[in-house]
Amino acid sequence: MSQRKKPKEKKHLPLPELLSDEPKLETLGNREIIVEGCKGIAEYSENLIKLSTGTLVIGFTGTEMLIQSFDNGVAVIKGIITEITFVT
Amino acid sequence: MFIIEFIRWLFGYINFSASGGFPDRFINLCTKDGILLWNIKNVGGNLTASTTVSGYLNIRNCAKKSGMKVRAIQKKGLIFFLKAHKKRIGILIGLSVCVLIFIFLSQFVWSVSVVGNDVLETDFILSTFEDYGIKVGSRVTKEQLRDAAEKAVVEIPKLSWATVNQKGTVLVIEVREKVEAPQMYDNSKPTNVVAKEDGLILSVDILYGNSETKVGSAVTKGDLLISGVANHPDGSQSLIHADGHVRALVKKKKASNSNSFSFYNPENESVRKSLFFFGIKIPFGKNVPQSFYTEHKSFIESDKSLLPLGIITEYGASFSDGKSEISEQMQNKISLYTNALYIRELLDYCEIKSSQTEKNGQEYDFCAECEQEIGILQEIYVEN
Repeated sequence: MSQRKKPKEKKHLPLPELLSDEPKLETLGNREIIVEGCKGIAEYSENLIKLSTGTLVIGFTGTEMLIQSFDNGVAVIKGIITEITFVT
Repeated sequence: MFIIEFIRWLFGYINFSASGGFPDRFINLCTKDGILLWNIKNVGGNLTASTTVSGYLNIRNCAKKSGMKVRAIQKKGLIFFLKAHKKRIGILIGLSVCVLIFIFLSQFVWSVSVVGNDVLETDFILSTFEDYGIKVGSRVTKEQLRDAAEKAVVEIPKLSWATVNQKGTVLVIEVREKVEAPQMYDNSKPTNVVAKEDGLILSVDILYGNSETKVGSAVTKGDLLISGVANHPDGSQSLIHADGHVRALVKKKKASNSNSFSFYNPENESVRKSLFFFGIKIPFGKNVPQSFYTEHKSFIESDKSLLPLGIITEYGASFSDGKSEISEQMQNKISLYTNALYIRELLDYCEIKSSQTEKNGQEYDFCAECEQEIGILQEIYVEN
């Protein structure tokens, strides 16, 4: 009796970074953060900025917080950032 | 960043403040409506930001929906500046004329420089390109630049390659000079090495051939130093290409003669200044005589290059018909000057061991003992 061959597992290539829905963060020290894949602003106060990225809400706490630009899903946040939080 | 700020200033922007309501909702609505916001700051619940003029005109709707009150703080940019100064026609006209002149002058070449030349003089290369229209003040096309570079390579034999790079109003002529192929050493012809000058032999270094002289012996011009006749052990002889280095102590003498120079008194000396503006020379005054002529250029200089604006000072004179007498002091100076020229010439090919200058009337005679190579190749002619 011949053994049935096991079906081969299909291996998928990982999605390229650019095509994934995950937000991309780039920090320059604690003074500037560039967030790509930003859907909107969830909260904005003097010391806290929360950005909605669809899957996550990212919070930036600090002083002298400034949104330098917010266009085409890219937000540039400046200030003295002391804390970054991720809320799923 | 400066470019972005400049473009924003050019098109105008408004700094505004928004208070009350929900700042986050306000920003989201603005982004959704395509209203560009930057430098958004929240100070004590009071939002300040900047936006474009068209963005500010459409911002009311977003403010209303988010319950915020918007107020313009500052209007910045060229259009607001012009609006504020619209009664000052002079400023506007001056500014417009200035911009127009700048745009007009940007179409011309402001400076031309040469890089990559070692042997060829920069002025010579510039004057050659000038003949093809590549000069300060001209309007050039890419085809013209390419043609000029090709023609210059043909006209100047020492150039192997040339191109003209244009960076805005600045032209840079880049050249490569030809490297001469080294002369092939021809040892196929039978030769002797003979003395080209009288001297006392200091060293003999034979490459090929038989020595016919010794260190310490005196030779006269034409004496055989290294023979090209080779003797073989069997008693036969053959002709070979003799070569070697023979150094000798040679006496050099130069009798100065200032009478060989002619001196004329300058007449009609005159100076003329001209304004140089983008290749155009505007002279102030009559033409200067060209018998003796020099010019001094002083251009306005920027950080990197000379600007095509400056003053050219021309000095000119004509010479008198008859020769003029020269003073004794001048005779001395000429004599010393010609001696200096002679020493410079000697240093090219020999080493001066000792020298002295003797006064001969109003002039100076120069004599020196030099060490130099005195052997030269002399072909042995063979009848076939």
